[in-house]
Amino acid sequence: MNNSANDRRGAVTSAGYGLAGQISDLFWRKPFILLLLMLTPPLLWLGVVYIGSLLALLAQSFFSIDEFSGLINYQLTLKTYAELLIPANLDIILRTVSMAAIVTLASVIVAFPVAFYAARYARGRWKALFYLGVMLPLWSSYLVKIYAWKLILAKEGILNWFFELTHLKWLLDAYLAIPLIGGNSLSVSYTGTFLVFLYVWLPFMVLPMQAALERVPANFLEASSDLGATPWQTFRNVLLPLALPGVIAGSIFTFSLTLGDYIIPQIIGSSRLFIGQAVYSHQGTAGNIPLAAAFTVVPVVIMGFYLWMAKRKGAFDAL
Amino acid sequence: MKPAISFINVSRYFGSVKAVNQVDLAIEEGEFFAMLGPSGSGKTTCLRLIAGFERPTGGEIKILDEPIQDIPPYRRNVNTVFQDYALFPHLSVAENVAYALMIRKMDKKQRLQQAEEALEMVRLGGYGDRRPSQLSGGQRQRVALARALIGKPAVLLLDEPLGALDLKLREEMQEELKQLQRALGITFVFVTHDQSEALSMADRIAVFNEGEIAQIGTPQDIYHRPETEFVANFVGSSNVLPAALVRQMSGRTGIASLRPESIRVVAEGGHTAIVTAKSFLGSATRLSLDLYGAGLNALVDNSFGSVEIGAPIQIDWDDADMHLIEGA
Repeated sequence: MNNSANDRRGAVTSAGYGLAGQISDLFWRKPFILLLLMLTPPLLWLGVVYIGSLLALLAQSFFSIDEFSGLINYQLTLKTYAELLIPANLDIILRTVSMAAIVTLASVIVAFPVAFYAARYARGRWKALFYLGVMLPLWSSYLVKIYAWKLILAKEGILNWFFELTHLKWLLDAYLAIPLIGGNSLSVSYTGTFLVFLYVWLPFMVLPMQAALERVPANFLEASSDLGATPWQTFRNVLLPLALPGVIAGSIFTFSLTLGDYIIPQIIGSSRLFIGQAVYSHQGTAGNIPLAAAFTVVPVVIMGFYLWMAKRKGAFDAL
Repeated sequence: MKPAISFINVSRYFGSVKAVNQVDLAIEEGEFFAMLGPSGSGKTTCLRLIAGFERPTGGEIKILDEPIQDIPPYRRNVNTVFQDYALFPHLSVAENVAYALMIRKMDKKQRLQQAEEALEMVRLGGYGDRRPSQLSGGQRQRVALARALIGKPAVLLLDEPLGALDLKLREEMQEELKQLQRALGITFVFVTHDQSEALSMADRIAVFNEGEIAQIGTPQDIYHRPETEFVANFVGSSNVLPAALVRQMSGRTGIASLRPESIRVVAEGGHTAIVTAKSFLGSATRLSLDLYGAGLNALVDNSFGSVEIGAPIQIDWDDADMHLIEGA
């Protein structure tokens, strides 16, 4: 009896599996164990190491520094945040946020046609070329790219040479004479900082935008046109709203990356500080960890506010 | 009377593929016109040429006697109901319907009121606040219809509008579409691959084959007097009798079409055919027959009694039902 039951079993189930097979069977019967195994390492990493240090940072920002001894006073206070509001620090914040906003806006404008072309028209080899073109700059070193831009933008650089060659130097000089955005040369002006930021973060805008545009069916555009909308009206009323989640995703990258960067403004631009540089100098040479922490909280709050606004304005309704 | 739409020698090539090849066509105002054909026959491309999504490679297209091949889609007084409806997911049903009015900058209150009226016309009053994703297929279809009609187009184009619906709903919508067209008096141009849909709804049908029009005519013309073998086969699965058999039966020359329902089973005095298969359809029985080596389909009523597969049977038909196909 027992024997024949075993024989039958061999006919129904596949026979002869080893330890690996038994483990997969266990996972099949108890999916919870598999989930636990897969999620534990990333949860430890994200939850404990990352969120933990973020909370530690947040805690630091509520301490203050003793101005005479330079030692940290571990009593909870808002004094450090008040320090953020003194004109010199407020300047840094405003400068960084404006730069991030302008860089983001410009990336949207520059990336859209590229992303639209790639999503709508590029096929096969052209699509591969698009991905290569967008990603290639990401493969080379960030520092090398920035120094390359310094060579392009410097007074002895390529751009200057080109303007001289075409007898348009007066145009560049006139531009550099404009206060705020101008300077001695492009490489020491806000314009230079802006151009390099735009270049370095552009792929982070193009890719999510292209993914979002790809998901808009072509006949939505035809339907809009059919109902009397000019291409511009179709863009405003159909394409942009439907691509907005991608635009927001891209802008989160460009905005937060600009907010946090401390290398580009140090190499290219006027010597005025950005948030990243302020954090760097406060936690390093100045040893003012609480103020550095408070500065770091600023981009976190701004990004939180930005996402909240985007959600309220319905940016994610099409998701 | 000027035609609502005319094609004069219109072609549309995609590389070496002749999607539409030298088509001449005139659609009358107020007509319910069907473009019928298998997939890839050029019927949808013709519709897209009228809408303006495609531009002709050659020839001239006129809407109400006005050449329009250089006019972009958004300036043509023609609206389309898309195959998969193409309702905008980020807008409510009412905003979808009112889209054309919003584009014309009508104020919000007025356009939403007109949208509600249009929704009532398609029996969806009160659905305006929902999202398209909350509606069933049939309801979406009606929203697409209301959206296309709200701008009062000269011509309404429908691209396989019933293709995604199940059978019962499709029959309901066929009736509704016909009533709507009669009530509005707008020219409807309707693309379908379903011959029964075209036969039951259209005033006239153009049968497409390989980028060309095989025949234009009333449903009765197309069904009873097919002009080519293709039309005879495609519309109503007619029997096409080979020339030898036609000569033997009637003494005429050429191939002929014979509708399955024209064949009767008789007690004696008919032609002797062998039954090769049979299937009971409820209201009738379909027989596959072998008549002197030619395969025939017959749709006969159930009163003929029983018959065995492989057994001989006597069949007959009126000579007038055997339609000689010209040009063959």
